[in-house]
Amino acid sequence: MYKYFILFAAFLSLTVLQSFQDVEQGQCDSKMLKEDSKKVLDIYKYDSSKLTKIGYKTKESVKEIEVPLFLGEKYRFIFNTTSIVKPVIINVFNKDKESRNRKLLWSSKDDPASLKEHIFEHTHSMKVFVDYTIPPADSSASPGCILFMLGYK
Amino acid sequence: MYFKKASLVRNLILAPVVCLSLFSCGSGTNQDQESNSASGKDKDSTTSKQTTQKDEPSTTFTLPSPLQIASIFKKAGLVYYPNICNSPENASKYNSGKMSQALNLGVYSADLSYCALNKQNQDSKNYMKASRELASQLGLAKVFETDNLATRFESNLGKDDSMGAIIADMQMQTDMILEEHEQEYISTAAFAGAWIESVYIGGKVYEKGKEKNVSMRLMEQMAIADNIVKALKASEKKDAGITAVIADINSIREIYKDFAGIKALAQSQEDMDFSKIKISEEELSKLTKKIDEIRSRIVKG
Repeated sequence: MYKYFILFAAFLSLTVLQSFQDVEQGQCDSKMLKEDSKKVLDIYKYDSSKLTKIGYKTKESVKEIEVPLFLGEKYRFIFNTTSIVKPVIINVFNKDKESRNRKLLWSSKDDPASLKEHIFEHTHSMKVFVDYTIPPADSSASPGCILFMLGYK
Repeated sequence: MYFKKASLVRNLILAPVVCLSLFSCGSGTNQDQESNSASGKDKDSTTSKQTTQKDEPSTTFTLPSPLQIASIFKKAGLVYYPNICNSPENASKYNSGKMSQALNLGVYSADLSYCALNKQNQDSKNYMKASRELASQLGLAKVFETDNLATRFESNLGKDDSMGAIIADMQMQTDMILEEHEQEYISTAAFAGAWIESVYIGGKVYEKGKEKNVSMRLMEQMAIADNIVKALKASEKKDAGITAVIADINSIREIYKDFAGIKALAQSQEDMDFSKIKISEEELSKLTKKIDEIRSRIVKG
């Protein structure tokens, strides 16, 4: 009889653990994030996208995406932050993070905290640099991800 | 009896503990990643492009789609000439490995975009078929099954706006599948092939019509070469063939960087404005010759 108890306990544990894993993976469901973001592209055509894993450290950290553009084209940048638990500041610059005198083109810092799909429209650049400034957090903060999608018209 | 009960209790406790231990091992990667790179901003800013074995690099890159490049060339006056593109019949001969297939999938996606935006219906159909054949070999057959892409493609032939939207959807599906299978390097290699085919077409059309806007856009494309090399280098370990592609694109960059107008612009530290750069016919010819040479090697398979 007790064999059934053992099997039941093992099954129960695996089910609970699987659901934990699902929650963890669900936080970075790239397909879902892309499909949601594509709706925000509206009349812009999909060009490219980048899923960036966001891990919280004990100090503030920065992750950067270099985005080549073409002069005269109109672009829509979408940042989907549905899958992060702590707010990350998104800044777009004209030069990389090693450069001095770089110009800030846009920032998400004034967007409402509840906003999960940040939009920035831009033209007249050959290249921009997207910086994610990740706030410090203790090791218990769950990692997440941000999806960046670029559209053009 | 006592022992039986004790054994039951022990097993009931042990089963979940064993499962929990297994789970901890499986999910440890994330925590390891965080602790490996836990020194924060100081480390990121001093070694910005370095990465630990398990951590994501602090700088990553995106690449434009072949469709956007075709659309930019089209706006610049790139007219359609038959027989410039790679023959769709070559699709069956690319079986020497993933790298050749990925590069030529890119070549065909550039050809498809060029034909579709110029309303060349029969050619578009042929390139769609060739792309599908190569995509299947790379495990991307699903792309064409999603959202009835293949059917939508057939029924919208000749409508360049709709075709653009369908090709953009194909690109997104391809990116999603490759990302899901952690094979983004295939996407980067395909883009390298598409880029070489796009600048090859641009060069050929320029030779025929001498349209200044086309040559200016050709120069603008050269700025993308840096990003392709960076993106390829990030996945160099994934396939031995990537090193050769990097060398090819670097050889194009070397020629471009040696142009008098580009050198002057680089020294002036001004923002790149390709409409102001003067490039001689001789310089352009040197560049297009190198592109022809590399492109011939790729389409040979």
